[in-house]
Amino acid sequence: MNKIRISIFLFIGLVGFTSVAQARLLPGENVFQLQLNKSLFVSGEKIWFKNSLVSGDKSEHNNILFVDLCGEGSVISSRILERENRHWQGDIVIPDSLETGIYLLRAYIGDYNGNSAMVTQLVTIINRFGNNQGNQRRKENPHYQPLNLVDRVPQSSGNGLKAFVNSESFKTKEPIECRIEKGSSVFPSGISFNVYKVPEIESGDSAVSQNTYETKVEYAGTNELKIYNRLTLCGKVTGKISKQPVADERVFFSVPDSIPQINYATTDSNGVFCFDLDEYYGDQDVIVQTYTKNVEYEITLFSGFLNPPSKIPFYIPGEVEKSQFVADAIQRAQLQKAYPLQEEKPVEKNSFRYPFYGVASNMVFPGKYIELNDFEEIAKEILPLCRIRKEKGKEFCRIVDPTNFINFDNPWLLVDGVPVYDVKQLSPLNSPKIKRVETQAQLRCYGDLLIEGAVSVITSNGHFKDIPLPVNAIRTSLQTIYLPVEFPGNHFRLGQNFADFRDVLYWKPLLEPFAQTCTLSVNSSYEKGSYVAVVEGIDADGTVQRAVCKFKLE
Amino acid sequence: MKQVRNIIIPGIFVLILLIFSYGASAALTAPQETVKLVGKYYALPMGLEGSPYLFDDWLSGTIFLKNGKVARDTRIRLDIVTDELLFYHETLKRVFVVDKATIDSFVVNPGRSDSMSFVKYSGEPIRFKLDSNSYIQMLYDGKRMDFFIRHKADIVKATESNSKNKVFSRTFFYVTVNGKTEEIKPRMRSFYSVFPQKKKEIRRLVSEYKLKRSTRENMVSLIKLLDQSKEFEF
Repeated sequence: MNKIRISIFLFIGLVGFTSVAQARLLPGENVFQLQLNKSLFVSGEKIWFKNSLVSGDKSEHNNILFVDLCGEGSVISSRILERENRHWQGDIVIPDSLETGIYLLRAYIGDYNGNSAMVTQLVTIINRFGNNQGNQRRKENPHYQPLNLVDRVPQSSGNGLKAFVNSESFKTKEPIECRIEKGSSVFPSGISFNVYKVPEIESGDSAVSQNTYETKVEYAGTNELKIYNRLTLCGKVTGKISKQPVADERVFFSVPDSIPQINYATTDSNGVFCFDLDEYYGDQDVIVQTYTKNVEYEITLFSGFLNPPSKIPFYIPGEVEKSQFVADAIQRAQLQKAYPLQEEKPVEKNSFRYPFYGVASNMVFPGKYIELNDFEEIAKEILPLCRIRKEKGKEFCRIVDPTNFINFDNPWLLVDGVPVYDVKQLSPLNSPKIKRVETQAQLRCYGDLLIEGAVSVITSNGHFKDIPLPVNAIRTSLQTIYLPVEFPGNHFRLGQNFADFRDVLYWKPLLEPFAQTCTLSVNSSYEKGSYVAVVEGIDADGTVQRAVCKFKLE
Repeated sequence: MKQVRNIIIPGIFVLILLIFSYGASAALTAPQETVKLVGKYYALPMGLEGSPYLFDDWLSGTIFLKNGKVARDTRIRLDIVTDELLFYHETLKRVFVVDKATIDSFVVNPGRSDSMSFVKYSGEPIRFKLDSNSYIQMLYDGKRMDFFIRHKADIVKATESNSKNKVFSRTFFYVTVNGKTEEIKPRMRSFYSVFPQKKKEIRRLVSEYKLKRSTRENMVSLIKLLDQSKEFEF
């Protein structure tokens, strides 16, 4: 009996050990890797990147990645990305006006508690109009060091991946057959493949391990901003006069749209509110307002991004700035501006959209009737369930529920999905300005909100432009989740009559899954020089596996 | 020896517990986010004899919404007269009808042996009994065949004075084979009429797997066997 008992215990123990052994990285251990499509960038170009995360934990909750390109004390451009196929991929624009210099590209995620984890990479950017004042200033500062990132050519690492090309040299505008082999390793974040131009370097010793220089980047103070594993917009409500935080105040978030959808939050004791914005994509025109209108409040929105570094103590050495490789890159960037590659449009997410007040019980198109001068006339003449009433000097909108014989004297008034609380605000809306009016004559709920009827006006322009912003409201442009597109250079067709001077011949952050071997055909451009084909992935142990093969285009 | 064993065995047990707790700490589950249900106020029906609900008590339910969100631990009820899913709003202290357009599916008593899974019917309507978007209780959702129930109730108007309107509830069984839905009686024999060419094979399966009694479980088992059997072509 005892033997059986011991055997059971041992068996359970063994199961426990094997389950732990399968997660080869320990819980809490994360391996981040930020990969870029090349080593030298020119202003006006895009940086194409992939960020991988291999974790000892179950990391499915780490969905949102924040990526930004930072200078000293400024975030130059940023992206918010959603995780797909266990990695993030995207592109970030380098403004045309950006000065020559060393910049920091960083990617970070957050967890449930708002703690962030970050990976950074220094990048060399050359201004194509020759503006290098910033770099010159840094050169004169003794605390700054020269840094040549352009010659940082990746080297093979590990035995998990192998890459081959069918020749050591190719002609321009010729297909290049690349063969990729992988062993038995598993790559949770997938395998990337990249072919790009590198400077003529005799030996491959110039490769420098990542983060050698990145750790020297300095930040001013501690970053107290919380980064969560979902996209949020947080802010604070304070009294306009008292400047004291306003607690328990309901705050609404809305985006002008023909299908009204609102988001709401309640302020905490510090006056702070937070909205979840996981369902929003692209740049949004956002209106945030409080429910209370009889007291004046001030709404401040927090930045969703971490503070930029205060010091990037590096500059581009003169020999790099004046090198032929850089000169070629500038010329190529000019050409690509003149003959841009056509980018595909992002595939829009097919999200389910439904008005928060439900399907309206009545819909009226004022354009089908005689032209009426203001909303009061429209309500009186053509809206069957809605009247604007005046009692004791106050104007209000009344909706009648004909089924249950109920009057709603405090219905939601919406213009392009944005709540407005004063019926007088609707006055400027005449027939030509209104596309349709929806009336909801029902008592309804939307989450914790009780909706006692709704009148929703959809304007002809649909952008909430015809009426003033309600009291205690702010309007701002907000960057939400970016939908990545495929690198346009991958599909460059042979024989195409086009100025093809691509320096990145191929950039695929995630190769289609393959068993042992896969072959890819890459089209070379007119851009002669040395190239590297890099295949890379992180295995389940968290080890970076990389295979690099070099060839020339002559 | 016995003393040593008495120390070792609990020691191993504690070790195993530690290992499992270590693994469990890694497997964090996502925090519950506030799911916003959209619904209209539900006026409780008055003066009815019999219950218009599939289950008289408020039961725990999980509602899977079209937008991908999941409302868990919601107190729900199914009104089979109006074919509406009701939920009790704990904050607003009222009963609302969840807008059907927003629902993908829902499960009553999730994770329990008596759980019931409901989806919206998407096939061809069957007159007076099964409409598109009617809530159906899925008993078996297979590759080639589905087996489901439609719970329905009608109100029979009172004919005598001082009497109440009566709720007359019925249950209809349906089989969907290759996209075509057919009503069946809750008997094993009904399958012969659905597959008249395969009577022998069905008989063989019924006898082999001892499914002679026409219980709901046996019917589901038979449908499952038919669906998964490679020999059973239709």
